[in-house]
Amino acid sequence: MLVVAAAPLACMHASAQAVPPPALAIIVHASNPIENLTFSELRRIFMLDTQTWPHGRKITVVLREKGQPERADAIRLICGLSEGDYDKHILFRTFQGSVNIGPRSIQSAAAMLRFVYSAPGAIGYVAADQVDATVKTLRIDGGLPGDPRYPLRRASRGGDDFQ
Amino acid sequence: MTAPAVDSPVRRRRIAPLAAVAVLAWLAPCAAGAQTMDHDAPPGTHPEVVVHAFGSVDWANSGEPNAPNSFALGQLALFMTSAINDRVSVLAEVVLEASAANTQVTTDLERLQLTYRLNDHLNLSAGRYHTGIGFYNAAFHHGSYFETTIGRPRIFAFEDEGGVLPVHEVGLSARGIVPKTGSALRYVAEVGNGRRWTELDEHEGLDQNGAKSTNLGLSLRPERWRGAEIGASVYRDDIPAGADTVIKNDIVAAYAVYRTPAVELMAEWLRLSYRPETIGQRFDNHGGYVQASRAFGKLRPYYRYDRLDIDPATPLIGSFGSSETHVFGVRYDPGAWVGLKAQYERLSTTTIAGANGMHVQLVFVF
Repeated sequence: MLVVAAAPLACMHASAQAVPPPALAIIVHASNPIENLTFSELRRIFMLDTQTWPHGRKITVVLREKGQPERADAIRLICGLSEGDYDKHILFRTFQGSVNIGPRSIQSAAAMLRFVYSAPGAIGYVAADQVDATVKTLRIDGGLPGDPRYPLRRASRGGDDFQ
Repeated sequence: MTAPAVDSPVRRRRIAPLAAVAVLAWLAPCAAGAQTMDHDAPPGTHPEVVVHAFGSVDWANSGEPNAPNSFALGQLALFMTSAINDRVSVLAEVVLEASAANTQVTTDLERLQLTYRLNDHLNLSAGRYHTGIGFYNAAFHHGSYFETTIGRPRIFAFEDEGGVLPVHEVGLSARGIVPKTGSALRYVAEVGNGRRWTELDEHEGLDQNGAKSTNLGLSLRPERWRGAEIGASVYRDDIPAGADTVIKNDIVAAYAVYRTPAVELMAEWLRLSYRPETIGQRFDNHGGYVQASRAFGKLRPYYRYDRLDIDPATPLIGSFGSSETHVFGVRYDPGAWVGLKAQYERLSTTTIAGANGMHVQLVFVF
């Protein structure tokens, strides 16, 4: 009995090793000269502590809509906060006067790609396998989504998590 | 990346309750789409307005003789901000307060700022702002939702509530991140009219002398200790106290805070110095607080020790009195944007020895 029970667990473990968790690709407008961000820089951008690119353009942070799991996951991965705590943080910063307009909310991955394509200062995210040639994928800590040490990976199962 | 004559700086006016309702009705459609934009049009195509209202309903039993326990409406802070374009934004905070009989409403324009944002290193603002003295005043404004406790520390009380500080100013300010510090070091520099302490003339809202108040502050937020911040500020002003009398006013503040969604630790200390030029003597006064809270799910117990030491001989603020307060309380957030706070306060002043007060407050944002 013990052997039979252990076999599926072993298979599951092997499967989890073979298929890495889905990666989150950070995307910007194709004309953005930035190629790489450190994880700290990325976090500061999504927390709206940094609001302009080094070349002077205003940063527009784009998230998926409230209530969508892709929003909560991205906020947790990048900012280390729950969605509710993040919303409070943004409103607090807005009330302080250090933020005018909070992050944009976008309904789908396709709309995210369209928005980033059309907004030169935008920064957003999609699942790595959804990136197309209309946008630029940034390196994070020097790595792209295919690299083993890439820091933005969803901890849950594979699949179309960021559809 | 690679690549007493308490000032009233803004004139209060009474408006009919109906007018206040009309303002809210006008704002309501804007508030519905506030904060995040639920469309995928590129930014900059049209000005966007973010509107929020912060309100509270209170019950208090101060424990003072001849002061019955009572319900009361708190302030309703209407907050608006708009990015006029990529560089320029405007912020306004209007506070509505009900009269004692709840039949009339008074309005205060608490903040009005036009800001030009060159980059993260330089933001220039003009208008009425909360002075960057210490931490609390620039972090927490009139909407009490974000404050863990009920009420501000005594040292940071608003001017029209018996406060000793120039909490509001009209003037210019610059703030931003100091370059090459990895976003860790921030500065604020302010030039304003200063607090209006006496009614020497009828030009309310204008400076009473040519000397401008100045405030300089620096704060450090180390990247490796997220939520931690230490800082200091120095404020100076020449206050006209009579026809030929000037009082030199210096306010030095230092603070250390650690704030995360789970833990809050805050400590601030301020020294308020007043030196009338005619006598040359300096009167030093001190104030500050220590506050701690910890979230356990939706519950957040908290404690604050609050102290204000005022030298009775100090010009302008000597009659405000010293105080010492212990505050024990708990905050409960049943859902998003609603909070319920209940606290016990033990207050000692120069005239009251250990008054026990209870205070309950319901706060909300919409």
